[in-house]
Amino acid sequence: MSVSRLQKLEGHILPENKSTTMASPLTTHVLNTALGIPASNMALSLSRQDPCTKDWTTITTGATNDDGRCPGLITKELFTPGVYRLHFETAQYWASTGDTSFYPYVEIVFTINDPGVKYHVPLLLSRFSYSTYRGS
Amino acid sequence: MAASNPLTTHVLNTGDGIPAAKMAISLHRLNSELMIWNMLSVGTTNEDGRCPGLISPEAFTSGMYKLRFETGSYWESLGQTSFYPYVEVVFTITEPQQRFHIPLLMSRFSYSTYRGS
Repeated sequence: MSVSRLQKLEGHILPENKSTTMASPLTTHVLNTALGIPASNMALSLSRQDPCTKDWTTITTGATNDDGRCPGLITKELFTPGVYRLHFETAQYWASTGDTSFYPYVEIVFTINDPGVKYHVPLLLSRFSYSTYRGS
Repeated sequence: MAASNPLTTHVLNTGDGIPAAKMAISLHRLNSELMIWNMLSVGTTNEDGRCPGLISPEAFTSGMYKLRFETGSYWESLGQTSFYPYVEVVFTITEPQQRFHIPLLMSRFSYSTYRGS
């Protein structure tokens, strides 16, 4: 088999961890620190702010999986420099466990200057506290 | 009887281990009929990172509130960049006769908040 034919075939084979798009350059991870478990089935959304109008445009809506993660938040092509917002439906999450919460939702607004690097924006959450940081 | 100073905050610069002084903050309440935020007060943290007098006991009713911290401007005034242009903490008050302390512990690349006392 020729090298070029082999390379063409390789291009058709997706690596095990590849979904329909490459891994998102922006990831999150929601942890229920009160119980020490991932916060699964939490609805969330990612939006970008228009620098001129300051209006927000929703890019993705989704929910966390069993591990508290939400793959595929954004594609590399769409991930341009700008101000982004992750919105987490935290009260809804606590209500689903039969609890109330101090925070109806959590929004984390952050600035992306270099979309060529990976950004990890986790949320560590209890009913009466939360924290976030730029991770890896 | 309503608590005097029913809502307080305290902003700490955990990157440098000091109170975050001279940070602009504002308090808003959600008008749930119109679904818009009404600004109730604006202020600046003092040398101890606190901002007394955010709201009077009479004005402090049940509802959804938002504390907005101008963290980006704060770090800029120190000649530094920050990951967060601002921080907004949205919370629900169902028992306004109680006291609520909402600190913000923040660095250039992280922050945390909790319901304190």
